[in-house]
Amino acid sequence: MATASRRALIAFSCAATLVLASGCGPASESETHEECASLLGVQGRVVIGMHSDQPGMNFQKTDSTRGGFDYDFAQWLGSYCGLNVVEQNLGTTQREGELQDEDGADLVIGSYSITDERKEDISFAGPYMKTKQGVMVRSDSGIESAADLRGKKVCAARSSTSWDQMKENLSGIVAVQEEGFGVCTQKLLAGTVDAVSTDQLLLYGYAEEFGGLQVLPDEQFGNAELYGIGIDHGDAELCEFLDDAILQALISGWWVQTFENNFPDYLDPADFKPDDGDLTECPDPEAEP
Amino acid sequence: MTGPGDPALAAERSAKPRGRRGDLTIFVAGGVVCVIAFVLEPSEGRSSIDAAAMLLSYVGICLAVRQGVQEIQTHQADDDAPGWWSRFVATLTARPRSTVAGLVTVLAAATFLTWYYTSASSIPVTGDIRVAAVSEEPADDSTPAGLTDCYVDGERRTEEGTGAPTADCTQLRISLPGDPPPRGHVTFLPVLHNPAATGSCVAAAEIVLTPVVDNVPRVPVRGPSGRPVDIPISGGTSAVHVLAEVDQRHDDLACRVSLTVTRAVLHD
Repeated sequence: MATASRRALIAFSCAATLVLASGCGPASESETHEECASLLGVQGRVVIGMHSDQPGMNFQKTDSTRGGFDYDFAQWLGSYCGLNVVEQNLGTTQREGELQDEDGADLVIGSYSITDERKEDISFAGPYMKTKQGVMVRSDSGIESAADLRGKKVCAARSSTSWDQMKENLSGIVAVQEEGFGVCTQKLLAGTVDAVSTDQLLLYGYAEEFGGLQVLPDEQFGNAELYGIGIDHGDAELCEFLDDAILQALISGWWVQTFENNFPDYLDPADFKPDDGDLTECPDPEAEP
Repeated sequence: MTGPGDPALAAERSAKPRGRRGDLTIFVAGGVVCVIAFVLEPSEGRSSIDAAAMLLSYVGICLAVRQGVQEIQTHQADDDAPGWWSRFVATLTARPRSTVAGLVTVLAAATFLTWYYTSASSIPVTGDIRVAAVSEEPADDSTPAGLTDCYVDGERRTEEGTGAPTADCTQLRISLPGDPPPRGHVTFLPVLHNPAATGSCVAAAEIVLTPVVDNVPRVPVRGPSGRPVDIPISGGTSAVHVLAEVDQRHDDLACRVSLTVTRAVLHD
């Protein structure tokens, strides 16, 4: 009798476990697709704003093929959501406007640094990447440290966080502003400017792509640059959903593999990979201003 | 002589339901106001007990007044004296128990309300707290004071590019009014602001509030920017202050944030 009771109890426990497991497990792929499309308010395709002039992150070659971490991440996210990705090239100054425009991009994945100032106009999910600002020079320039930049022309992109931090942290330089870092790099190669300052990760990408350029390894300054996915202002639900997606990318091994595919071997992915606990940027609907 | 068609009688009949409807309207409106206060007060960082006390007293007063008015109206027709006081005396004489009960209810409710608001209610003290920056550097006359900004945990590159820290202050000292404060808790609404165009410093920051009661620091309470934080401060015999610090969870040393206490309420 005792054995029969025990068996009945075990059978009941197994059945309960199965029921709970089926009801409480992770969402199925189709549920994830449905939720993503619903949160984005799209059907079948998602328009993602991105750069096209950043080797390593997102770079469009002359034969129109694209590659880079941001590009791969956009494609991965499209697949995660079951949506076709429509790429929309953006300049640094266009990103906020695209998100605020009803007919503009649904998301922006474009080495888009999360800042408190930008969060007044748009919101961010993430971060999915972290880096710090650095300096790139021509290999034959003789410039070895930030101190050697005094009186030199240093270029950064208009409306970028790099521009603000460069002016604040590099004293005595002649600051030059251009439409994008691709333009700055071309000017550096042409000898029109002496250095380019932006996020180290971008600089490593440029140096790898063009040759004859080097990143000053010990020059890091300013705030941590945390790259996030730009979304509509205050959309906490979409933000939480995208944070879950980023977490999947971080813990599944996809993130490290993709980083290694797009950046030079001598960079350690751990230096640029956010921790799980960094995903704190979603808007707080209950916070008072 | 009056009959069914008499206009004066018809007016009197219709006046009674209108009077009752008026009573009911006032009663319901007051109740709704109390309930709204009950819902809103906690979001203001105050105790909902305040609103409960208000509701209780209001109901008591309304019931007592309504009963008194009904009694007076009952005796109005029998009383030839024109004055309100005469009718009240007549009512008191005819129905002494119920009238006294009504008066006692009104007095009790009013006394309770008075006691509650002088001894137990929430006290907004936003304008009365004193805020001073606490710096690791020697005190300086230019140190910010009052409800003002305190830049915490900064790192700025110097002219020589050495990255020496130049934090303006490491803590805020928030002194509460009263010696000791008249209530056992204080709720602050602390708000952080990143004055720079760069960095994501607010969402990743937590404000750490440590009450110091009788010069003994107690267990710190943590909270994000823009959310009310309830801090227990009971049991003190002298002045109480709260030390506020900012903890950057992502360890961005270049983050400098200003901390402002936009609301402070003492309560039990």
